[in-house]
Amino acid sequence: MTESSVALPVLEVKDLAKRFGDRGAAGLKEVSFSVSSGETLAVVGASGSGKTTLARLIMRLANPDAGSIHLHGRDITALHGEPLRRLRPTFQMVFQDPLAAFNPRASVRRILEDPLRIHALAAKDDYDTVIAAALDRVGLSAALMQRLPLELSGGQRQRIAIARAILTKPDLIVLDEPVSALDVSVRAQILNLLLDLQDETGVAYLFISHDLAVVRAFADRIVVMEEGRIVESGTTDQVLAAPQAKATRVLIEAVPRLSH
Amino acid sequence: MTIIWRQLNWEGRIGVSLLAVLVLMALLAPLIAPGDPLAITGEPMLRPFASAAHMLGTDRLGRDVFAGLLHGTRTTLLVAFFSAAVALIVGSIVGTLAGFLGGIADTVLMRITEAFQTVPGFLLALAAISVTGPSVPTLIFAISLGNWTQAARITRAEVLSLRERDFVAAARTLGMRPLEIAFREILPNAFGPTASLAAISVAAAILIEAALSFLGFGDPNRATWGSMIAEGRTVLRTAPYLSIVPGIALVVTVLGVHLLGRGLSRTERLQP
Amino acid sequence: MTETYLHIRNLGVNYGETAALQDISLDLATGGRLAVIGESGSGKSTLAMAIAGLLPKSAQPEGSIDFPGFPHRPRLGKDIGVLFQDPSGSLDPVTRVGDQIAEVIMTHQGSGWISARVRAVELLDRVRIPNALSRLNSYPHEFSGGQKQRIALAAALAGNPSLLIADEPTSALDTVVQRHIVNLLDELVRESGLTLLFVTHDIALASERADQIAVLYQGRLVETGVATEVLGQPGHPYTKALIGTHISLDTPRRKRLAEIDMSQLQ
Repeated sequence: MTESSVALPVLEVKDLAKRFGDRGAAGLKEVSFSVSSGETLAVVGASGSGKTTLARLIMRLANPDAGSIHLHGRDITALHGEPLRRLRPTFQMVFQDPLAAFNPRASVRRILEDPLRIHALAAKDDYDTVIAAALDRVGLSAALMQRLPLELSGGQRQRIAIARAILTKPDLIVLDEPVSALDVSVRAQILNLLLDLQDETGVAYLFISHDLAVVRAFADRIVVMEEGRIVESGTTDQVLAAPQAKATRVLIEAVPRLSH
Repeated sequence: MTIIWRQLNWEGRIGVSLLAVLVLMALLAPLIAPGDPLAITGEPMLRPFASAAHMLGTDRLGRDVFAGLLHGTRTTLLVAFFSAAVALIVGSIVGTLAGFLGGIADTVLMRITEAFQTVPGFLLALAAISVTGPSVPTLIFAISLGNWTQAARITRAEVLSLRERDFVAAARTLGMRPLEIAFREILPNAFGPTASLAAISVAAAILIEAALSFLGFGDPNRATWGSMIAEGRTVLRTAPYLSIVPGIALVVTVLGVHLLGRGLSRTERLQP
Repeated sequence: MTETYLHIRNLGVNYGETAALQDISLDLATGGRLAVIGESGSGKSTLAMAIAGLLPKSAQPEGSIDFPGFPHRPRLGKDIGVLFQDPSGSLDPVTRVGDQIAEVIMTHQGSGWISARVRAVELLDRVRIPNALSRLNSYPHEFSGGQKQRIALAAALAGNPSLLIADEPTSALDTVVQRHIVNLLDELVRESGLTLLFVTHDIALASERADQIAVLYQGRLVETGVATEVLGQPGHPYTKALIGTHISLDTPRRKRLAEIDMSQLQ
């Protein structure tokens, strides 16, 4: 990280707005926040609060109706085509359902080869080495290269999704409920992996979730969304210690508690 | 091979067996019945099993029915499989482009598809052949004209639903180019339902080819079952075997393709 | 109804060469609430399906599942209600929800169509679907995931069963909806005196609602007993590890989270 990029937030979102298709008047409104390098910002809310729409807007999978998105100070709100493609390596995404996030017919090797190929990140002869190293980095054996995601466990699939996301060495990774589809006992492994990667590379995470317990352990700051708006924000400790908004309290109360 | 055999049910196995026999007939035709099948080799109107040299008899001109049967297999299989293949390939490409690009491209492509669909496949083939003249390549082209639209519609429907899936979004976030996403990520996954059309397309192609040659629009330089049936029409009362023998061959072939198609669709998908 | 509702002895389920379940023995008291906990692949769903009688034909069960209170094998719908994980999968997409619930009632209670529909409205109301009467004629796709699961619950209870098997009923839902559904389930079970078998991978969720806990690991029952004891003084290392990996609101931030170390288990 150079000095200048530390000063600018990795991601800055201002007054983002988007109608929820044909769901009527509801939609994202006046959503603003920023994420700095090395930081984890959690976006929490129940289903329908707009978190997924937000993720799609930031990843430029959909166009906002209003507002702006800046990546390292660069306005990407209306970016498309070749200039957008060239920026793609800097911001990546990990999806919620690890099985649905892969082409059902693609082997692990092919899945990890895609980013290398698309952005010419390595010489063709080096693909095997680079892919094996990426698998190793996420705690998987290179022997899995020829397998299909269908044959692997949920935790293994999510590790591959993470490997795919970090291959391009992004500055920002949007994590859309990355552990919600996994067994509770496997979540810790994946979260620890993400934490390690962040310590090593200084990547920023935008962590989307409905599970406050996971967010509590993982995020530096939180914004709480309800029906398309941000109803509360602050550091994780502050918000959870003294929740102001009803939505926040509902989310806190919803966390299952281990009672003895 | 054995893996496929083991996975097929009884319908598929009968289908494969029938088709295997036909393929063998086609391949070995020049060995079993050397020479031009359209050449006059014996007395006209010989009955089947009457002469050792002409096992299934001869037609009005003295051409050997058995030789015609064997060589006709080549024409039938060649034209049918290739035209079905062309139809499926063209149809899937059109369907993929329409479903993936959406908007104006979709509208235009679908209107074209509908235009082709409103004309019965046989008439399209007939019209095309009258313009181009009959030969194996033109027959393949003409027959595929009527067959590609179904593949286009089915592929498009699959593509429309696949387009919304996470792995397509993932491909976009990686920066994959749209055409690459359409043909590398989506089409292979959309192809399944279209492939099940293969049996129907082949069967339809066989019958259209037979009908075309029956009417005299087939390749005049080749022995075809359709022309044999047509030839036998005038002497149907006295020598029905001239039409019946190639007719049975047609039925067996379509049956084989149909059974194989059913067998394939019923087998468990290979689980990795 | 006898005291023991369910008596399982040495139950095993094999699929060809693979053993999905091995040597499972446990009892469930009438009116009791048993939580079956395990990870994916532990066999917990297989156990639930074996009890419900819903194993696929290719399964080879061995051992015994007895229902002491029944002279015959309990029937699905009438004696046993099942709630599955995928709300969209439980409901017929082309039939109105009112008709689906009414069908269960007519089949198992022998009611006429009108009284079945009246009862269906009551059930929809019970599971807190607003405007139950007008929603009778809606199709499943017009409801949210959480609502569909409530409707599926109503259908599962429509035949007045004595046992409810819930197979990961909230795994596909967000925590807020999960909380509602679990509260609702609790309420209904208490009100009707139902016996409940609840399958989940979330030990905290199980701890909130169960009297009894059974822990499955790779097809074997590693621990079972009264919930407070199993959670308070877990005997088996796997149970201890499961409890250890629970991430709660008190988990300090950024400290390395506890993982299950497989090498330490048998």
